[in-house]
Amino acid sequence: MNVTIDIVLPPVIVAMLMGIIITTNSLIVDSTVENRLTYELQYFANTSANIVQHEMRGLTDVIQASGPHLRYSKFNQDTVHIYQEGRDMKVATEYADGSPNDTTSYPAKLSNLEFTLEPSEIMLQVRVVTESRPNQEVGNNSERYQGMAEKSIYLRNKHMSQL
Amino acid sequence: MASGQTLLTLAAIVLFMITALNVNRNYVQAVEQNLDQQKYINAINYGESLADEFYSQASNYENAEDVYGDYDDVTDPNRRLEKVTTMGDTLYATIHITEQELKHNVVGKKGTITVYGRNGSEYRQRAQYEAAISNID
Repeated sequence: MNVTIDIVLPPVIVAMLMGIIITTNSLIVDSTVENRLTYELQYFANTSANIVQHEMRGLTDVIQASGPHLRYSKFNQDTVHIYQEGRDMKVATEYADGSPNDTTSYPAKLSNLEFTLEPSEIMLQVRVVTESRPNQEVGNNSERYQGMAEKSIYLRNKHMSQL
Repeated sequence: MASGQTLLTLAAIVLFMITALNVNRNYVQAVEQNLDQQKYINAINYGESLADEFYSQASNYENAEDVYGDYDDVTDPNRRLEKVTTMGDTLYATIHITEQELKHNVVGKKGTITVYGRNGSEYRQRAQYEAAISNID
């Protein structure tokens, strides 16, 4: 009996050790990828909201703010359209002086972009949700990782022009 | 099997268990830190949104306290602002307004906006903003 245990026990311990080493490595890889991915998604969501805020500095009037579309006019009569196309955020400018239209594309990994003009009409809420893709993740999760950012932006020029 | 070998085996199993528990604990901590980071980003954005709202009171300078003056106690549901974020976390905010001399001898109102998160019955500060307005009328 003792001889049998002596023969069986070492391979069992080695197998346990190998199991722990493999599981540990798998968890470390999983955790590293997850950290990088969530950080990246949060960063992209926050940066997208900041870009919208930055682009809106010259806003004087809101033409459309619903769902993933924000269209507004600027102090120099240019018209800007910020919208979601696929996973990108696009900023299209139509110049009042007849210059060719300009479209900037931000690869923001969007899953949702939403603009809402608050009832006061001097605050605009922007909500950004970014989402991972299965090929960016480790394993076969059915759920996706997400990053979120939301801001209410004061439309100073619009407000001042109403006073 | 000799008692020495049995003890060694037990010791090895205990070491394996400690290693496995440590790895799992680190993993859970990493996930928790990720969620905390998202909560702090939300708190910062909420504070910035409130600061933006406060700026809009420049045209309502004399009555700014009527709008925001009562939000000065985070523990009282009637004297704080609340917002449920997209991730389902609830944020609480207070605004403390003082009239004082700002830069260039201009007198204005400074709003100190503090955003809190809640952990059980405890409110923890997550972000703070200072925004100032002057009378534009």
